[in-house]
Amino acid sequence: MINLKIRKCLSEAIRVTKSFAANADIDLQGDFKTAENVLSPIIQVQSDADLSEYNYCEIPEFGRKYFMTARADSAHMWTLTLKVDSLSSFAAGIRNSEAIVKRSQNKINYYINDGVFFTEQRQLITYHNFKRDGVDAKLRNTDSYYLLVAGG
Amino acid sequence: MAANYYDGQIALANGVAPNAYFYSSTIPTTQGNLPVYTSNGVKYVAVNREDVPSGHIVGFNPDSPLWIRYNNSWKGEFLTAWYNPGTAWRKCVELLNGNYIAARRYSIESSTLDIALFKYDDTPLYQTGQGRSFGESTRYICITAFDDGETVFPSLMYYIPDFSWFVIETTGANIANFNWLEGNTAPNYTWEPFEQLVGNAGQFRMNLSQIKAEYIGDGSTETVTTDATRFIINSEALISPLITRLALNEERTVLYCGHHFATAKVTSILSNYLYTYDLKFYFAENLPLFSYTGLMATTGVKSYFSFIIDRTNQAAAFDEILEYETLPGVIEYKYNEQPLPTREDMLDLYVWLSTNGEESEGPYDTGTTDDGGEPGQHRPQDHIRTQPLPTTSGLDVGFLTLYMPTAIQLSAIANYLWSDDVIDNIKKYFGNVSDNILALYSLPFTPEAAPFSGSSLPSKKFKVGNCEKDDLTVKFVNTRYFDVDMGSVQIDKLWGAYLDYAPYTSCEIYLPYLGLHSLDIDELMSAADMDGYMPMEQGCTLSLLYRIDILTGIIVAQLKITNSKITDEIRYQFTGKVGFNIPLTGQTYASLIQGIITSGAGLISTLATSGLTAPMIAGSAAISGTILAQKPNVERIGNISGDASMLSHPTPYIVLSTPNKPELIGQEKFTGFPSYKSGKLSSFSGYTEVLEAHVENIACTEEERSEILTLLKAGVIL
Repeated sequence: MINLKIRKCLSEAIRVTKSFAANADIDLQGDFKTAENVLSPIIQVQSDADLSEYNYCEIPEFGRKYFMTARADSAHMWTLTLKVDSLSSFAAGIRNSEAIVKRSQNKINYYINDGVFFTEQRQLITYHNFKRDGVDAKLRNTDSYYLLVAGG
Repeated sequence: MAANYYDGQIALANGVAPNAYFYSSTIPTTQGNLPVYTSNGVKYVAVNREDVPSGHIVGFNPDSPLWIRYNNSWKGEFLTAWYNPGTAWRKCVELLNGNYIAARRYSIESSTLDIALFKYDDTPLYQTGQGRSFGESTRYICITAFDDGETVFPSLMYYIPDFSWFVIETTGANIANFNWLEGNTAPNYTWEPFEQLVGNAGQFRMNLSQIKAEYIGDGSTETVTTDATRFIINSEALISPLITRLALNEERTVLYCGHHFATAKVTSILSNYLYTYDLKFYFAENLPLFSYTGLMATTGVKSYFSFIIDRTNQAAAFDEILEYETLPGVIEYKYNEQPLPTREDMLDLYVWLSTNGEESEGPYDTGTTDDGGEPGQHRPQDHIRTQPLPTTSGLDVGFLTLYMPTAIQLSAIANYLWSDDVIDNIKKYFGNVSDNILALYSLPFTPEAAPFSGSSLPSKKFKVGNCEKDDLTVKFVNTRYFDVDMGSVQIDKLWGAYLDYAPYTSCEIYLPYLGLHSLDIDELMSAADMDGYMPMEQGCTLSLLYRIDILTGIIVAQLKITNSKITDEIRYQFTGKVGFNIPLTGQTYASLIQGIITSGAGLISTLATSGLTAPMIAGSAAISGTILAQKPNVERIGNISGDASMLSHPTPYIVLSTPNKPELIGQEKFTGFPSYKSGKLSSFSGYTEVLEAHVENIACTEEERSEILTLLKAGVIL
């Protein structure tokens, strides 16, 4: 027999720290149907609750957390198919790991070219005059003649 | 020669073997045939010598005939060997401070100065003409000079470890009466030229000048020849360029050979073309070998580095090959410069040359060995500021006058030019009125008003050729160059991101009379400060200065950048021409039209086309790069010639083109933005995509570890 905690996970699979429905956890005991590996165990349990509403399982004895699919075998008998949630199971170790982060939500360098930055087909084209003393600068004042003479 | 040498016979002269004996206390003395005794491997023969003290054993080792054993040890003691030619005992050799005696058998064969000395088994030890002296250690042995009597000439003797000899000095006409021999331990050298020096990892290569092997000889003689076929002259090996660049007493590395090197130092400058210099050869890590002092002339003769080497005898020598410019075709080489190198010197130089870098197999075997990885320092930059205008104009020296007439005055001038007064006078001197009227043109400005300085021009009576019109006073320009402030414009960021930079954003500048030009938006957004650092703020102020030559209408526009860190630094200069010419004759009119048609000299030289460069970036249609690639190039301004520029817009302006980004709130939560920062994942939050990670110190299976890394690279939410 092995102790299980059945939970309702509200978070997406890629989230390292999951959130769960409040006050919905169920503690159960189950048996392995056959010899299973710790990463993808299949466990049979007995429960009066409707386990089809649950999608997450924790097995403290294995130190792991699992995504869960429940199948009813008969009245009050369920077969739980588990697959390890490696992100949540080892969240502390993951957070303690060194990495080079390519894309981030909080540490961003906007000067790096980004192939995912969405822009419109429209270009913003603007014109800006050179100004001198607040007025558009220009060289022209009075058109003038110039006569170049030898000697003089 | 008698073949039996173990009976103690010593041949002294003319092949006659006298009887010589060595004393042995255990051996009965006798004359004639002598028995040989062996004790402890040493062979002894009896000697009958009246001076030998009793109790002493005196003998010699036939296998090393230069040694004498005395009192059971080989040593240098005063010892005399005697021989008895049959009449009386004569001293054979006197030893002084040496520890061996003369060769137990030697002979003198020639009556000339060529002396041959033979070992006891007739092996020639030395014959003149072989090998090379090079100042080898000389060792002497005294052969007691003798005459027919018992005269003894005492001489000095020196230690000589082997027995290669030649005579360098004799006394008396009778060469049998010699008092000393000089030992020459030089082997028979076989010299060949050393062709090339290759430095560290093949980065330095000098093809040396060479004497061809067949002409080196024993390397002992200075040779002057006009036969240029004996040499290979390589200009790379010229010594003077390496020496003349040195300051007096400045020592600097001039040659490399593998990891060894040679330095040169000018020790004296005898004249502006004559130097003495020291050449020092070093093993790596500053372990010096020896020094060579040379005299070098920089004119009249060319000196080249040259080496000879004998790999079998492990010897090498350095000297110069001289090519006389004053005596064309005459080449000299010399290997017996004083002081002569010793055997040790030649061995050291041999080792120096033998560490020559490996010969490269091809031109691509050389290259840099720098693997990089060490960032350099920031690059402080220099100011580029506007300089003062030229001071010479040509308008103040009397050859030219640049009038600025009004339209009414110009009409009056035209009438005057065609009057009889002008025509008659000018024809007398110049023949053609147009030779005096150099140009008539119009500019869109007068220097008397803003934006020029506004100073009034002086006036004087109009004068052409030698004809002055009293009633026509016209202004004239006495300053040729003007600076005009053409204002400034602010360039600001729009997105605060890479979109503000090329190729996504472009910038062009329209310059009146000069046309449209492209500017580098990257520099405008982030011009480095004077210490070479990127600025913390984006954007700048562009200021424009027109530098005008009123005589030619040429304009140079200087564009300067100012931001929080730099002020008025010139970054662009453009040139063009303003004004239009007014034809005075049919010829000038025709050339004017032709110039307009062909857009000739003095016109706008560069054209800008709008649109951006188009990088090929894959991705969805909304991605900026892809959009960019779809944009066409558009020409905003055609060819503006100097004449047409008069009709163009008079105010400079900037055109900025930037992608428009739709408002997309919270994109970072879904896709993140580029980060490329490193650290612990605990310092990151939210959407995170990893480039690489070390997922360690986690007690998981390898399958889980692999999955974790895959998920991190695909993107997770921390």
